[in-house]
Order: sequence, then structure tokens, then C-alpha cells
Amino acid sequence: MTESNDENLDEPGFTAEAFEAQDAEFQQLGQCLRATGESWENSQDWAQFYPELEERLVATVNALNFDLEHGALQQHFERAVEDREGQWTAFTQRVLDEANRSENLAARQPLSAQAVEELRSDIESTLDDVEPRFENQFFRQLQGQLGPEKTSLWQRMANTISQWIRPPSWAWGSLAVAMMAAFVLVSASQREPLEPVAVTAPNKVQVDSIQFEGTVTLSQSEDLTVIWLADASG
Amino acid sequence: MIEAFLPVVTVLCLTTAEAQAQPKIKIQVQVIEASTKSKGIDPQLGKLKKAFRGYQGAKLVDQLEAKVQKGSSISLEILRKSRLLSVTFQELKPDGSIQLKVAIEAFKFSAQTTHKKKNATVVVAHETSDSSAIFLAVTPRLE
Repeated sequence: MTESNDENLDEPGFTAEAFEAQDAEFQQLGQCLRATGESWENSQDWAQFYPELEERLVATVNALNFDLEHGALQQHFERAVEDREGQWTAFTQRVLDEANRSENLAARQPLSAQAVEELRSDIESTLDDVEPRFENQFFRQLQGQLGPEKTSLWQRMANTISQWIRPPSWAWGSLAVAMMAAFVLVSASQREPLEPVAVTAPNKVQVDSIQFEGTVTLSQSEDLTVIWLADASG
Repeated sequence: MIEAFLPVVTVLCLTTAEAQAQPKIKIQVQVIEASTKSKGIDPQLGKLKKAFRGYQGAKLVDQLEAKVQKGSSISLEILRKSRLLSVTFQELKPDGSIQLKVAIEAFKFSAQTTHKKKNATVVVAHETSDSSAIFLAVTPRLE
């Protein structure tokens, strides 16, 4: 039987040795009660069974000097409450539960649902950030399509007429091609000889004139002159 | 006897004098065939190598040299089709430049050139196929 002392109360729980000692005492008490019950079963005086049993139990417990007294438990409880002073109260806990209600509910959801909710919140926040930029561009484009200013009726008529008069872009290209073709035809004329080639470099050969029914390519260097004939007839 | 030959001699002397008064030059005409398929350039054509750009090989097919007087011409058949290249000595200028006229009647081609320096050559070129061409090199020289 363990000694009843305050050291046991300071521990978070009773020690294993104390429990084992009390267990032995309880076993003794149980054997005593069993024997009493058996003896009384054999006796015929049932009316005196329970009071006498109670007297026997109290005497046995007092004799055992049982440690689990009410005062000791009370002290133990009070000391535990003092230790937890300010750490937890039911009201505080309720306030925290209410504030974290959505988080607690989300934590209880399955993992897939939690991922979907998190992704949705990210998308919504991103859209909120980008939305003003899109709106600005949209309004800017709309403003551009509307045009800067309104033109008067006379100005619009003048613009329309000028568009009719002004030739299209392809006309200029055709004119350029026609001019080039005329230049080529004139230069390839068989009747008129080419003008003398002005030789400024000290070439050995000077080509004074050429007559040919085709294309002539003249290649000159200091010591060599080559006249290439192309598309010659015959 | 001598009297019979005297006028002949006189004529000959006068002719010779006139001939001496008429300048003569030597004209060289070279017919060259160049090809991309053949390799190697004829050693005689070393001076004309620059004209054969794009062709790996060139060979001298025909060559003619003749002395001509002013107003005279020489002709050479080319391209095996009875096409004639004619070179006419037109004028000898005081600075020594030689004026020639080069013509190919079949092509209706003619060119007037002035050769200022010694051994000044003019080349007339014509493509005969995708891989070959003919070059006619004309070089006048003072005698």
C-alpha cells in the first residue's frame, strides 16, 4: 500500500504502483464482500443484511485507509484549474469557433472540394485585378471607332469626290511598268545605233557604236572588252 | 625591152608608193568555243581568260591572221552554218588608234570599235546552248 502523500497529487495522474496497490486492496475488499454475502445467504435473517453490509464496508474501507478521498480529489481538481487559468474558457472557445466557422467547415470538406474552392478563389482574385485593364482598352477602342470629330456635309462630299478622282494604287504601278517597257523597247531598237560608250578609264578598246536585233551586254575592263549578244536571229 | 616594162615598173612603183601611203595593219581573228562541261583553257587563250567566266573549258577552234589596208576587210566562217564574221579596217588615227568595224551579217550585228593600245582585243560572244558559247576575238596590230 502506497503512502498517501501530496507528491502523488502533483503528478498528472496516479502512479502505476499506487494503482497496483489499490487494486490489491480492492481485491481484498471484494473477497470480504463475497464471503459476507455467502454467509448471509446461508443465514435466514435477510432484513439485517444491507445495514450490516454497510457497516462492514465502512469498517473495511476505514481499515484499508483508502487514498481516494473526496478531499484529495477536490484538491487535485482545484490545482488543475489553477494551472489552466486564462488558457481556455468555454466562452472564448465559442467565439473562436464562430470566427473560424468557414475554415472549420472547409477543413471538413474532402480534398478535391478544397482544391476546387482554392482555385476558384485564385481565379476570382486574378479577374478582379485584370478587369480594369480590359475595360480601359475596350473603352479606348470604342472611342477610336467613333472617330475624332464630326465632319461637315461639304467636307464629306469633297472627300468622296477626291476619292473618285484619285486613281487607285495599281494604276501607278501599271504606269511605271509601261514606262519601263517603253524604255526597253527604245533601247533595243534596231534602227538606231547605240550611242558611243564613253570610256573614261584607260581601256584599250572603245566601243563607238553597236547595231543588233536583240539584247547587247557590254563588259569592259582595262585590257578586255566583251560584247555579249543575246536573242540573235538567224 | 626595158622600155616595155618601164610603165609596169612605174605603175608598180607608184602602186607601191600608194600602198606605202596606205597604212596596213594585221588583224587576228580567233574563234573560241567555251563549255561548262569541258575543263582546261587553251594556252594560246591565256590573255582572254577573263572573257570565259562561268565556263570551265575553252578551246581555239579557228584562227586567222591577215594584213589589210584601210577600207579592206577579212571574213571568217563561224558556227558551221555559213555565217561570216567580217572585220573591216576603217581608219588609222594619228594617235595610233585603229578603228575597226566588226559585223556578223546573219545576226544583223555590227559594232564600230577603236583600239587605242597595242594588242587591244574586242570579243564578241554568243551563247550557243545552256552549257556552251562561242567567242570571236578580234585583235588589230600595227605593222
